[in-house]
Amino acid sequence: MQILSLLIEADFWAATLRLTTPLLLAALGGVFSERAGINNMGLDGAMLMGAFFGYIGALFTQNAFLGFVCAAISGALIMLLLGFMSINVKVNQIVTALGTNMLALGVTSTAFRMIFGNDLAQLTSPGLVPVNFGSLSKIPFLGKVLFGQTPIVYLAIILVPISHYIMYNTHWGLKIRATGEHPKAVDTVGIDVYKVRYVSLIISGILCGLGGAAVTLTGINTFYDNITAGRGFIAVAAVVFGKWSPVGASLATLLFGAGEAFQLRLQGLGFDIPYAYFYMLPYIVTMISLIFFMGPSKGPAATGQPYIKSGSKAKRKKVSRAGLKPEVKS
Amino acid sequence: MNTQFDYKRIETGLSYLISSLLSIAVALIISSFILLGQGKDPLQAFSLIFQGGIGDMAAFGASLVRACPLMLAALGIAFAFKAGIYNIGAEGQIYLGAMFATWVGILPLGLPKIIHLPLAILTGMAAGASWAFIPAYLKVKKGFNEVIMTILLNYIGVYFVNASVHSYLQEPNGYYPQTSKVLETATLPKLMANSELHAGILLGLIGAVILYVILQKTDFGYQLRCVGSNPEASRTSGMNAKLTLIAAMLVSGAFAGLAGASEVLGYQHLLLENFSPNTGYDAISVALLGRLNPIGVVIAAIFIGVLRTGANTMQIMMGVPVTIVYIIQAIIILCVLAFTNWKLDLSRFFERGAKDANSKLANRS
Repeated sequence: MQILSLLIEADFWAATLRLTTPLLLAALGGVFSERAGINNMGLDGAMLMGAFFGYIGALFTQNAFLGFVCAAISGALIMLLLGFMSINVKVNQIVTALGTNMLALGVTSTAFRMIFGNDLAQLTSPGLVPVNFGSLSKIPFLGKVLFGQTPIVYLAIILVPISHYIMYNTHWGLKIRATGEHPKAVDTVGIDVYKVRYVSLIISGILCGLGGAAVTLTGINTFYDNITAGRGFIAVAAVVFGKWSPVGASLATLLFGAGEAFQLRLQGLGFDIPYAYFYMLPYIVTMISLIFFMGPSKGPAATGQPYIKSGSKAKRKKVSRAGLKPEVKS
Repeated sequence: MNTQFDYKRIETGLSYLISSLLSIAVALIISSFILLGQGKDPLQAFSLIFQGGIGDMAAFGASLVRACPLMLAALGIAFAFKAGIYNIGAEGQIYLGAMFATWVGILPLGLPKIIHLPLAILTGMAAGASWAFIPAYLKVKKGFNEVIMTILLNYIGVYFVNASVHSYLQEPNGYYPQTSKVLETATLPKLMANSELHAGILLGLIGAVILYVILQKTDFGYQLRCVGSNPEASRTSGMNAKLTLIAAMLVSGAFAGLAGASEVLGYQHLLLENFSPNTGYDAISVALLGRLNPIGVVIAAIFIGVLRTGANTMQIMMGVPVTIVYIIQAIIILCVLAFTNWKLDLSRFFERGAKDANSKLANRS
């Protein structure tokens, strides 16, 4: 009974929103890139970059907002690398993403040690403070849940309808969705498939970077190795769970955020079982809900497939060779 | 014999070797810029890595101990990737394998070594294989994405093992979260007097040969490669793609379980919390660097083992953070992928050479 009463506490829901925010931002990023046809396992690396460079930016400028700007740029940069590898070089996207994730891990942990030395002295940077809504925050339940959060939480929530609108009601959204479903058709009407994919990846990187910074700059205000702890992969799972739609993916991350808040609360209750069981909880919740409530779902048709432009150099060469060479034997 | 075929194999082997060496060179060049930026001498850093990793027998022994779990897990991963199923779950499978091998290893069964040791190893392999069976079944029967499932199972598996070490597997009356020591009858024998090198590395070498033979010389291996390169065509030509995928995943999980088992039974001798962090993910890069070829994986694992052990020496002597190895490793993976796609087409090079020679001859006449 004590456990169930947790679910109606305002603190629990406030923590849920706070813990959902990084995942929500990353999952929205995942929706953009997967919808454009890039199978994006690189969310985790971009989040890690955002977490580190957000912290460093905030520390050196002494300004949390500039930290978020640095985070967005660093996330976009690593996604550009992923884009170059999967769009231009056309290597397997899953495997490339494992490479960029490892690069992010190497760059962040090495830079951290190079800046602070091996003693890992913990300097805290300025972080975001909760927005002051005045008397609104005194509303019994909602006040604590909705009106006591940091700005990034509100930004994430606002981005859900905005992403939905962009994806389904604008020209760009149509381009992105079409590129993921049928790049050939998009190419035929004269839209640059590569450009659409690069732009979606940059959006994705910015969102993941913000999500990473939302881990470091909303309370702990510091960094340690692999601080995102695989949240990017949970975001990928959320994208699949939410059937590649911004609203669906957001609801899926809410489920995981609630699982994480729940395990934090359970730890506080002091049960006599190893805490690792609590850590396990959000992952089990995600997996069980994927298996039993969702069923398998098909993503955008062209996801994971590199697109070879019909006018690309290799093909042109082949065509011209076939056309110009006079056939001797008929 | 079909000499044409043999030439081709030598050619691909050669182009793999050249592109791997090129990737390593690119990684070293980029990391030397990082080192120069920090005011450290890159040549000194690399020579320290070399000395610390392969300088003498003791150092090389330590590198091989490092390489052993990577090699075993990467062999399995490469096998699954060959079949076109992305097993990212080696991490969880290693932990489960280690846990069950330890469990058998600490049971006072009163068995002689010749039974107890294989029993512990096989239990570990079975545990790894069963953990791999879950995503394999979900993919084949229900169509779930194996990448996401294996990643989720990694977290669940690692936390499960950690929880077990904290509770029922913890050593009796012990304070630390660790199991009691594995019995003498269940430990892998040591290979060298003044080093920790254990027989696990032999398991890796034997495993590589077995997997190579399976892949290249058996019907099952042929089927597996077909399913991996073109699932649709192999299905229509009457192969059982689903069964092949499950079998590949089971083998993959068994090897990851073996990696965990040999790490505990050969090197650590008891199970700790987080006893081998990130090995499962590192093994993926080893598998890729080895071009998914069992023999290549063995070489790649030893290379990464040397790199890791040597980097520790570098950190101690020069104060360069050991994590720079991650950057080197990541750049190597990305370059290997890129160079594989821009295929270093030696065959065309040879052909052109032959053509040039022919045309010269023709001009002369």
